[in-house]
Amino acid sequence: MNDRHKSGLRGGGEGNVYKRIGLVGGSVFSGFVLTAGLFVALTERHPLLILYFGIAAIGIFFATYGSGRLLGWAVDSFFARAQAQM
Amino acid sequence: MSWTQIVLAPPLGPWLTFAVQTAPPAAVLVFIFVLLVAAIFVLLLICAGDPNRMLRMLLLLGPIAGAYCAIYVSGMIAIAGWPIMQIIERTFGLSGGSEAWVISLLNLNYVSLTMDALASVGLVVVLLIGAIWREQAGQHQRASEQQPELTGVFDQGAEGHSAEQAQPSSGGVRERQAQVGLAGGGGRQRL
Repeated sequence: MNDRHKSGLRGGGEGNVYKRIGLVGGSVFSGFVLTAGLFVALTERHPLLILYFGIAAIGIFFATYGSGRLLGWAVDSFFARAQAQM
Repeated sequence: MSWTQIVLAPPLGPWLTFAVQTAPPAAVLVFIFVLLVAAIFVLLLICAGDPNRMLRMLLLLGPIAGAYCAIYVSGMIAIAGWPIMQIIERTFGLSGGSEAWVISLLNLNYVSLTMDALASVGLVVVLLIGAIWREQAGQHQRASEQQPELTGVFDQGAEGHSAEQAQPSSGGVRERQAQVGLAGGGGRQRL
């Protein structure tokens, strides 16, 4: 068994990577939506658009981060089970 | 003026329109792709008798990984799709129809789903060939490593045997030399 799998089993290293990617990806995606919302709201002078885009950004962040956490947990469990069976 | 008209107005409009038209079908296609790859691996595991009992985890991992990949691919297409298309159009001097071509390519229809399925089967075949190749190479390496080890063991055995045979005589010579030296030394000391 290589070090990658060992670290994944010990401290959830493999899963932590996905969680971190989820955090970064969620921030980037939601940041883009927020920036677009700000741009549109400022050019059109429509303040409610900031609210709409903000809600969308929060949803995108939680969807991305949540999927990262879920995949991290699933990958950790998968490797732990594979290790236990071997 | 409704807010959808405001959002789809020229400065940001084409970008958002492209994102809305391409990101959802791309997400669905990627989700199906990952799900098909997981399904083929599940079938292979069932055929192999599931020796490590990983079937349930793989069944759980497939949809989760599919959703994860779908979110990321659709997000990247939504963010970077339109600017990349603009850059490509300006670099290669293409007409403005390339965006429509990409949108039609990513549409959900029998052609795109068939291409998706073929790609997933191709990926599994490539992964299997790679795994078999690596296993064969590993077996070859292990065999070639064992060969010198075995010959080394035989050589060591032969050397050890000859050394054992030679040791008493050499030990005897050394002992005799030491005795002579001691005797000589003692003689000198005495002298």
